[in-house]
Amino acid sequence: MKLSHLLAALPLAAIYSGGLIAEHVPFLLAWNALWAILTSVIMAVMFHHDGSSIE
Amino acid sequence: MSSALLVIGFFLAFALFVGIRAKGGRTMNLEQWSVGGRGFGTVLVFLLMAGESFSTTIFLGASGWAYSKGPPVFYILAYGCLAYLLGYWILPAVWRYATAHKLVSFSDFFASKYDSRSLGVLVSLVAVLGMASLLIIQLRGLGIIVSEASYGSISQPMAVWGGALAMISYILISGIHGSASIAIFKDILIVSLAVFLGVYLPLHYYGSYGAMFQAIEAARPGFMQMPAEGLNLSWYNSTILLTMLGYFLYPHVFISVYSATSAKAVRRNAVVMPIYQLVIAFMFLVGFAAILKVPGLQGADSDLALLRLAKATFDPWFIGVIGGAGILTALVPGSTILLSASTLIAKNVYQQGFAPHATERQITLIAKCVLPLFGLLAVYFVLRGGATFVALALFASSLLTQLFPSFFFSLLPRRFGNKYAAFAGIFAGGAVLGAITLSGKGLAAWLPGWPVAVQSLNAGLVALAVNLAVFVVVGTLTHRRPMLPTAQALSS
Repeated sequence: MKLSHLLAALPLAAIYSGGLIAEHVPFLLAWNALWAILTSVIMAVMFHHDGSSIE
Repeated sequence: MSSALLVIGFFLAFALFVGIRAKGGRTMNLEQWSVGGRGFGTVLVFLLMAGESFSTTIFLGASGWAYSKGPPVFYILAYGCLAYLLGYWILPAVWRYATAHKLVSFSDFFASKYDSRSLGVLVSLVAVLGMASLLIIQLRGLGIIVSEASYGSISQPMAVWGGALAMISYILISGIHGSASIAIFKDILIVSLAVFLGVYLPLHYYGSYGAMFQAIEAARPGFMQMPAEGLNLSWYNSTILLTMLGYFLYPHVFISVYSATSAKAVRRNAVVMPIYQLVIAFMFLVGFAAILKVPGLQGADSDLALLRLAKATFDPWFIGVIGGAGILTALVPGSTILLSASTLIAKNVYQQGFAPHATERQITLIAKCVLPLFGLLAVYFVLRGGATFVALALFASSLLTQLFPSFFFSLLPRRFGNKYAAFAGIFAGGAVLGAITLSGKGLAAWLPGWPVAVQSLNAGLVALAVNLAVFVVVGTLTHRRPMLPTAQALSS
């Protein structure tokens, strides 16, 4: 599995678990906003890492 | 009031001027008119994509849903991030294929991938229905914004007609160049305004965000909790999944990918867009600020939360600025929807359905004739009234997501599926969605006795599951028939 696939799984898992966490602790506003930032950061790392994958 | 009217008039005239001037000295053949000659860099593609991220659905709908529904509205922030995560891989693949095969419309992609002109016609019909809902949102939003911001001196129907005529005028002349040029000004204005309103209004009325949410919790205990039924956690997660999968199947977003100059420009956009979604959070804050300050907005009127709170707070000239920004948020996505719809009707319905030997010049002429007719049809439905912005947007998303299985399987390195599977899947998903939507009842009425978590699922996701199952079954049963081809559909 490529590093970028592993990295991409992080925001996916985090955002989906946000709703579950919210039921046991606005939390969702803060959580989703945090992961909006982190998703861009993670994708920037992926972009840097995959730079050569894209004449 | 007259100062608000003057400012709104200035914004509309300015948008029209910029949109028409965008043509420059270009000769508008079909490729130049519809996809900008595939010459847009990272910034212009970003602005076109951001146009959909921040349309009137968000400008009015996000604050309206925060006002009326509370936490379920946070799905909007989540799906945008995840959609672009998916787009990181999908969008460059779409760009490469579209560029190699010189595709100009949304349906071209399906017709070419599955070597089936009739599939192109079917996809066009689904896309036109979905886009009609999205255009209705933009025009209705424009009407509400202008009417409210002008303190009623411009009626909603007059504003809708004015906006539609402006949209049609510049898109006929400049094509996608007009939308991209206006998007530059729109994004600068809307980001500044959203951040200002999202910071100023809560602090002005409550002193801090914490005090605002505590006041809401005290006045309406439990409002800030996810509901146990209806728009509950099951609905929230299923809606994020549905809207995330369908995000790039909005035809006008799809063709903004075609307009890019390189796959790298497309991928750079995917990286930046999640953080841009944060602007939407400021709209939520405006909606929450309005709950206790402009109470009593019910049903579709809840979409007025932002404008009513702003009118209670600011001078008329500033309300004019908000109205002007609202006009631009409607014009950019509205005009790209018009462009996309008219192109696919001309190319995939007219040419591939009835006139396979039509020349590019004839197709362009048909597209330019269809464009105003499609716009006028949308105006007719706008003036009839209807559901809230988010409800309309969710219907469009549910419908367009029925194209996802066909789209996804066409991208796999080891291809699976054929035109029969695509046809069957789209029909099955569309039939399930149509039955649930037209019945006017939720999934609970169709699945009595099932767990609440299942009954609360987004109906579009259930239709998508049926669609996917049918695609796989039919694809397996017909696997000896021609598989995905060498894409000669369009050149024939």
